[in-house]
Amino acid sequence: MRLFADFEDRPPLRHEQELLLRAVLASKAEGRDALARWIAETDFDTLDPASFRLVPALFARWGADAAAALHHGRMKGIYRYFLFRSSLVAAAARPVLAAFAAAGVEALAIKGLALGLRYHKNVALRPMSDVDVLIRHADLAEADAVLRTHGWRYRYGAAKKLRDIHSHDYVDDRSSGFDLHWFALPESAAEGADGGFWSRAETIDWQGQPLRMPAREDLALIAMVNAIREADAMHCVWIYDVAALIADAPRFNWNLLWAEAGRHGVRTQVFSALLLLSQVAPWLIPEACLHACLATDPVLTLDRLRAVVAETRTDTLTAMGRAYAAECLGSVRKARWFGLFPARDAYADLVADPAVAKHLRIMRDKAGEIVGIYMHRCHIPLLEQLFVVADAATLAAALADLGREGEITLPRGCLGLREATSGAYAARVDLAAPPHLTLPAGEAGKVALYVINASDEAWVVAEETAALYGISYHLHDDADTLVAWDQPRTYFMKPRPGTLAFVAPGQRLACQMKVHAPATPGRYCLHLDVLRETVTWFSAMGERFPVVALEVIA
Amino acid sequence: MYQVNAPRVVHETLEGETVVIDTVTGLYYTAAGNAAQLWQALAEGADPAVLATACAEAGCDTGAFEAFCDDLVASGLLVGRAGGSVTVALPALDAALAPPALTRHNDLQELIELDPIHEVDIAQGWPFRGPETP
Repeated sequence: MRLFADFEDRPPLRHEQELLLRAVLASKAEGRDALARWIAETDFDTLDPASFRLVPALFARWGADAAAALHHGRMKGIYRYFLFRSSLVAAAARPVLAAFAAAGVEALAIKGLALGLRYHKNVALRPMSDVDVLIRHADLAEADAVLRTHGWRYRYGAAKKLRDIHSHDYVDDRSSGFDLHWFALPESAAEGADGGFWSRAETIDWQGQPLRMPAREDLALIAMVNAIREADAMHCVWIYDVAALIADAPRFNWNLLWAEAGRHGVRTQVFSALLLLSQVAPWLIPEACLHACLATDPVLTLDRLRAVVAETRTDTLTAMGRAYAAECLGSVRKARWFGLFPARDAYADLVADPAVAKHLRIMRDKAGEIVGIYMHRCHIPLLEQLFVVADAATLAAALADLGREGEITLPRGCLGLREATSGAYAARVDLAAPPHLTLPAGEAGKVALYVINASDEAWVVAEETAALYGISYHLHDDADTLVAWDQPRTYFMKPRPGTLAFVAPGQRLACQMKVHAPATPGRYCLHLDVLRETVTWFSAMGERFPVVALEVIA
Repeated sequence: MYQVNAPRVVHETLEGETVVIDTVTGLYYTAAGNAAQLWQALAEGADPAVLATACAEAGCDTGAFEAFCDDLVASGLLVGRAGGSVTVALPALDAALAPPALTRHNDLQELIELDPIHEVDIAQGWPFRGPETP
């Protein structure tokens, strides 16, 4: 087993997607085998969107092969479709880029246009519905004017345009898109963040028109961060893209990519992408690169190990993984990471990374008594916080045989649900975005933030109770006078039958707090507050939270 | 002598079938058989007179070839070429095939919206609509 299999933390690609990628990228023999399996195992009528986008590449490599005969007609048609679609999208952008140059607006083609033209050398192989272009922030107004002059319009409402933090989406009357970036990535939307992209940019000849684009390592970085951000859709096309970037010339500069990831503050995302790449296409990335990444970033290493432990995968760590982790962590911490976590605060530390509430299932008998739990091993240290333990010896015996996860059976009366004390109502809120937002009157929005359980107790919600933990705000006017106390709630967990949801002490949740703009335009203040529904606002317990400015426009 | 009206026009020949895309009008053309071969030769810079001779020798209608060339120019797909012709391999024409012509797909919106998996003829693929769809 490869060492870094221990540290994988992304949802794996679907089996069909992996086969498809191997068919497109692997050696001829392995690729043909993967193609045959993909044909045999895939229902073409239910092809997922990511696989759909890889079909042109599959057709380009295997269209003439007998193994592809079953779907040949539609594969060829999909190739034609994207040749048509991507050609129109690229052609629509061409005069805009020429006009940018004439107006003195510097521009870099990023993502699909750069990859399709320069690295895949065929836009059919890199499906795109828009082009992404990076400009200097100072040129935004000029670029916007050029786009409008050329018949493009902002795709969404004016209110959204005000809230865009790194790019505006434009569309023309043929549904081609133009994504105008003044920062390449929303994760690093700050002045100067993209300086390296600009300084290393190269220029190609696009049928008589110069086209600038970032260096291949920078394009790989952008592809990886976008892919990890959109992991739900997991457009595995990015792996095909990165393979083309690597194959373009010898000596792909992994050190540069990693250093730039550090400058952009996206190493967590890039490391996740590198791990996925190493698992799906191990021939593309030397394992030494992954070692080097961790060696140069001890904080990231700790975060990775913390995630492994919090996801209760410690008992599945390979000997190599344990040795490596021990080397990284040092002997003092080793026992905490790889023992059974005897100390409560150790667990609090370990679960600091997971950004969502955790769950375990409880089984009850007809009288409602708890007679079993389905749980992960890493939750053992928390049991005393979640339950009143009437018979510790019986519980310990039941836990002795628990593997990585599983169900333990308990006698009636061994466990009861624990009620929170007033000490549980302590929290800290950190904003993940600037403390101000603008919304049209009556519209909904969100504020990105982190909520930390700063108490010594778990926040526990049993089954279908209404007493949920969540975050909201109190609406004040510009003079800080209270306008409305109760506002929309954003709960940290969903009540489910037979389930105990909890947020461990020290756990840090990532939240998108719902905001509803008042009907009257003006300036407001949102006094954030954590609450336990029907029980208490945390502010009533002496807690203090940030204030966010809200501007409501007509 | 002609050349493809690039970058406005994109073209590719796939398994003997030529696809031509006019990115300004949004028109999509396909050509097969003699038309695909003649397009390819013209796109590479072959002398039309040489191609007309090849048509005649193959027993094809040279008038149809000339009309084909005129149509390509009128449609803006080919433009006049400065400089001399290029020697290319002569196409293997078949007099039994239909006179050369491009098939034009001119409903841009329909082309974009036609689902390439579920709404197409399974044997031919996009942009050929399947028989069961309205």
